[in-house]
Amino acid sequence: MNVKNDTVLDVISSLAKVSKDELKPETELVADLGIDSPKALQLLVELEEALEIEISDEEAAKLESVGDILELCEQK
Amino acid sequence: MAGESGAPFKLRVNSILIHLIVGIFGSTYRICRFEGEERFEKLASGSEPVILSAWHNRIFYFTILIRKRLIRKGVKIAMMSSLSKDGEIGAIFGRRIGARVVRGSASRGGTEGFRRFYRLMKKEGYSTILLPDGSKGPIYKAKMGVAMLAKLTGSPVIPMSYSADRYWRVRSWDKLVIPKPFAKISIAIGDDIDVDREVDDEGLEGCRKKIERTLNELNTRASSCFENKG
Repeated sequence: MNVKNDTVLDVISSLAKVSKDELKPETELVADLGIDSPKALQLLVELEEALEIEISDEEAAKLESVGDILELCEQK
Repeated sequence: MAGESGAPFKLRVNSILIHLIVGIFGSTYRICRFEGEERFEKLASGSEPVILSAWHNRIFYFTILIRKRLIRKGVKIAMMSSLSKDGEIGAIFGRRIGARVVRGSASRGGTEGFRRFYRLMKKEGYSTILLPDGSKGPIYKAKMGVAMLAKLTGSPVIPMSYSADRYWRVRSWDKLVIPKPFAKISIAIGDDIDVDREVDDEGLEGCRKKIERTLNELNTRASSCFENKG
């Protein structure tokens, strides 16, 4: 796993309070991790800061799973 | 997002009417007590982005106060307006008074709206007006968004309330308070509420409760000089 993916998983696991091992690409942000609207705001801000990237509103609206985030961040 | 010129005719007419009513009513009000005025006046320098926070039903008079004492002095203010038709009226009105309007609410488009607030505060130095029980209530129950925005931006929450000696109550979920013309207004501004960036979920919930408790206390303090309890 590359450094970028590792950072993404660090951010998600810290925010959702689950171990990185539990995070699979198919893990859903809302249904499985309970990421509500305020948490989603925190997640996006922390991802942008940690990876020094910008995630547009359109891109953010499509994020439903851990795999979606990994894929998006990989493209940045 | 529809601009004012793209809004339906009826909505534009309604927003102009509201603007007129607010302007006419506002010119007749008299402030009889202003607790925390010094803190509020400091905001006019615009040097520090803050989160102005009041219950949803207090927005009518605060729009007048914020326009007069902050926006007209050059302070950059952003406000959220829901994506509903009523929100469209609020958005048109917000733009008319010189505020930057972000569309969204806790129930619809909330994350997007709060992210825009975050960027406006961090990158462009805007302060925001946020109504923690909006846009649908329940009344006087703060949602988590205000505390989360304070945590992420590092900007303080400035809790605010007011009461009037004579007022109407709108039959809406928030029981909107509209002071009657020539009403005396009592304003209460609370101490800054800071939210540490490193606070955990439990601590953040504590901050949310503190915002809720403080706003309710300010309601009581503001109305204490009148017989009625607006």
